[in-house]
This record gives sequence, structure tokens and C-alpha cells, in this order.
Amino acid sequence: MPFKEFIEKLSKAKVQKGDIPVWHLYTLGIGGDVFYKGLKEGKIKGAYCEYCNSVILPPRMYCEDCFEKIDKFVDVKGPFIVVAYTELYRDLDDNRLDIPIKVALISVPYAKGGIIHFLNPYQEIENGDIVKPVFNKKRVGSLKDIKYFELKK
Amino acid sequence: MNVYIIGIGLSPPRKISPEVSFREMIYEAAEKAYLDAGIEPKDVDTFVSLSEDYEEGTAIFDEYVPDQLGAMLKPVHTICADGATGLASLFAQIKTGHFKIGVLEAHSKLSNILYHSHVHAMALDPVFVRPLEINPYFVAGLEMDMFLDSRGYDELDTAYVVAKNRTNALLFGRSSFGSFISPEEVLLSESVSDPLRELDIAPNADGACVIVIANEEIAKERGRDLIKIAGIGFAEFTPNIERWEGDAEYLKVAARKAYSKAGIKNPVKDIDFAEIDDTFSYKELQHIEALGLVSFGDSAEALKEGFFDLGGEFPVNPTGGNIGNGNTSLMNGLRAIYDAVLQLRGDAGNVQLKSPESALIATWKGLPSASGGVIILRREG
Ligand SMILES: [Zn+2]
Repeated sequence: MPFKEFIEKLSKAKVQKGDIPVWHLYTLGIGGDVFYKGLKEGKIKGAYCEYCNSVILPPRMYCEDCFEKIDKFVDVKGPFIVVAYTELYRDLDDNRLDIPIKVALISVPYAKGGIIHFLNPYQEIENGDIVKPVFNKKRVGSLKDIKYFELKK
Repeated sequence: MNVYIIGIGLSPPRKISPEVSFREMIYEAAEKAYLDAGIEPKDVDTFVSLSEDYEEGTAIFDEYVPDQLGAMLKPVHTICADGATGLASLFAQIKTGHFKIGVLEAHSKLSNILYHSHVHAMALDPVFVRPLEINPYFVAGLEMDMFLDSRGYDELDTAYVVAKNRTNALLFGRSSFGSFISPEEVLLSESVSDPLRELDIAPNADGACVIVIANEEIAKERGRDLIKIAGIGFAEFTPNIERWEGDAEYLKVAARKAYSKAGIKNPVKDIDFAEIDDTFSYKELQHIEALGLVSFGDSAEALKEGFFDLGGEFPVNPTGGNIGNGNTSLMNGLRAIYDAVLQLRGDAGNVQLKSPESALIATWKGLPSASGGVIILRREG
């Protein structure tokens, strides 16, 4: 203990190992269910709030501005615009990635919110560029049914 | 009824702390704060302890206090909030008149956690974001990109924040993160989530901090260092990062509330210096603009001209901020309060400003949150 016995070598510091072995199952919710089903069909779904006349992305069953319940969902067909993007050089274990992952916030001008997803790593894409989602051929109803967004020619 | 800060205690931020457990670190800070306030734990009526338990490798944080604060069988709130929000909660309790002396505690033992990014990833929406399975630093990278892009700033502009704060920390002499570093050297550090680089990120640190506050009667009995909490406000923007615009809306609202309570019309004229959250370099500039210290898009130029330097017109983070002292999670705001009190008491050593009378403190809850608060402290007498 620090009062009497000082640690002079780091290797002498005693530690107790521990971990948090917890697994989760998250319900998608009403908005999430619509969104995931849409992805399986190769579509991007948004919620529509009639009180503020806005599309909410990603879809939720309430509008956080109006505090009103939403039961109307719509196909969001674009134009999808890159609001911001980053090149990520770390994996989840904080190891360095030699080839960065391009992650962007993508939105449509009439929406509140947007979608966080990948950009085609082989394209030069800038903020303000118009992009489109590229879906996997085999889709299961998950966020990764979208492979990435790429430039719309 | 006015409320005053009557005692402060710190177990200083450092990279690792193998000699003590996190409870012992809190005990050290509490002992110092009680000594400073001239009280014993039995004199305290109510406690607030700030904790983000997952980030500490624990759960149900109630089980990890109140022994080390001397708070057994006393009212204790454990809340998961930034420093200003935590202080506001305690402040409100004293304001009711039912409590005379209150204690605020926060700590960090980030060195206990082996994989931080997994913890922060748990704060991302489990349906719409987390399934991408990517490092949560991307949130800071995205927000920094929005912030720079909307103002026409570049990475060199935010590198000036790092250079200033690391240098201030070196002059102050408490932290091991202090260094003379040029903005150009900051740009040589590795990219983490472009445009965010390694040196743009406040390095993780351990520490503990305790603040004692009291009503007017107790504070005046104590007789010295009358530091009044003149204004306080806190707010939370949407947690849905898809709606962020890079403007720190939470601080605009918090500042408005705090300024109005403290009777502040022009913060730069009416306040002498500030402690502002700089957990990421761009956050300092973003927060400076949200606080209305300069107009939208003017912070980078003001910083380069030395406006926020130690000897500048409005010093920001004179002891080095989080970049210079380390990121101590929810304790960041308390470290900022501690350092502001040192300045107001004239105890800030090498970085002491010339008899400051009022301080602005702006805190942020950290990645990936959009919560924060503002405190105005004023020295009386
Ligand atoms: Zn609405």
C-alpha cells in the first residue's frame, strides 16, 4: 500500500483481471423493423412526420422535434448527398488499419437526420457529392445489406 | 440564497496509477478537499458522485461509493453526467435550503480498461449505427470534418489548440502531458479518423477530484476565498448523431442560461478567463464559438492571433485543458472547476493570471455525446 510500501517497479503492481461477458439482443423497434425490411428489399425507408412535413432518417415511430407519433413510412429515393466523411484508421481493438475505412454521414435535402454508412473506398468522394447506395445481391435485413454508397454518375 | 465553492481536492491526472485502486484515489481527493474546506465528512449533508460505470469496468456504481467519501448513511446520488451537470444537481439541492454543505466527486481510472473503443461503441445506437462494427472515433472524425468544412478551417487551425494547451500544461508543471510543440509538429502525428489525428485527442488519464460547496452562511463563516457559483446551465442535444451539424448546440443553450443567471451581457468583457472542454482539439474552437466568445467562423483566427493565450485578452485553458492534463472522462469538468478555483484564489503558480475575478467553465460529456454545461464562478471580496 502506498503509505508504507511503495511500488518501485511497474511489474510489481498487482492487478486482478476481469471482463464483462455480456451479450445483448436488441429489439429493432417499429422504425427499425421498417428500415431493416426495406434494406432486405433494396430500399431505404424513412419515417414521415406530417406535423413538420419532414422525412426522419433513420426512421423512428416518433418525431423528436414535434413529439408526435409517426405511423407513415416512405421510400427515400434520394438525391443522397455526402454531408461529412472521415477516413478511419483504427479497428475496434484500436489496432491501426493500413487501408482506412471511409465512413460518411449521408442525407437527402428534405430529411431530418441521415444515414451513417461506408463510402466506396476506391472512389474520391467529397462533401456535397451525390451518391447512391450499392446493395449486396444477397440481403438478409441488416444494416450491412448496403455494401457502401458510391458516386452517382 | 447564494452558493459557494469552499473546498477543492485533487488526485492529479496521470497516465497510470498502479499504486492505488480507484477507491483510494477518490479517498485521497476527498481528504484534501475536506481539509481545504475545513470540514469533516460528518458535516456534509449531501453527496453527488459522477460515474460512467461501463467505462470503469464496473456496473451499478452505487456499489462503488460512498465509503471512500466518508458518506455512509448520508444522501448520495450517483449520476452519469458531465461536471457542470453534476454541479448543477448539487447546487439545486443546496438551493432548496434543506442542505448546507454538499460534495461533488468524479474520477477516472481509464488505465484499468484494456479496450476503450469497445466501451464507446456501446454508446452508439445498436440498430442504426453499431452494426457497422467500426471504431467510435469515427464520430469525432465526422464531427470535426463538419466543423472544419462549415467554417473553412483546416487541420492546422485545430493544431494550434494542441500547441497552446500542451505548452500551458508544461508551464503549469503538474502534468506529464505538457510539451513545447508546434502546430506543424502536431500535423506529423498519425491519423486516427481523418481529419482527426492522434495529437488532436486528449490522452487518457487517471485521477480523482472532489469539490465542496456550501450555502452563504457556511461560506462566510469560513471567511476566505469566497468563490460564488454565479450562474449554471446544462443541456443535451439529440443523441442521434445523424442530426449533428458540428455546432455544439448543447453549449449554446447552457451558456444562455448561465449568462442570464450571472447577469453576463458580453462574456469576453464580463469574464476574465475560461476552462473549456478540449477533449478533441476541434472541440475547443467549436465550444468557443458556441459560448459566443467570438462569432461563427472567427475562433481559428483569434486563436492564431493569441487572443486565447496565457497572456492574451481572454485566456482559455491556462493550465492546459484536457489535452494538456489528460482526458479523465467525467472528471474533466471537475478538474476544470478545480483549476478555475486555483486561478481565482491566486494559487495557479506559473500560469497565474493577473487577479482574475470571474471564470467561465464549459464541460462536455465526451464521445459520442451531445451533452454539456456551463458554470460561471465569481470571486467576492
Ligand atoms: Zn415532426
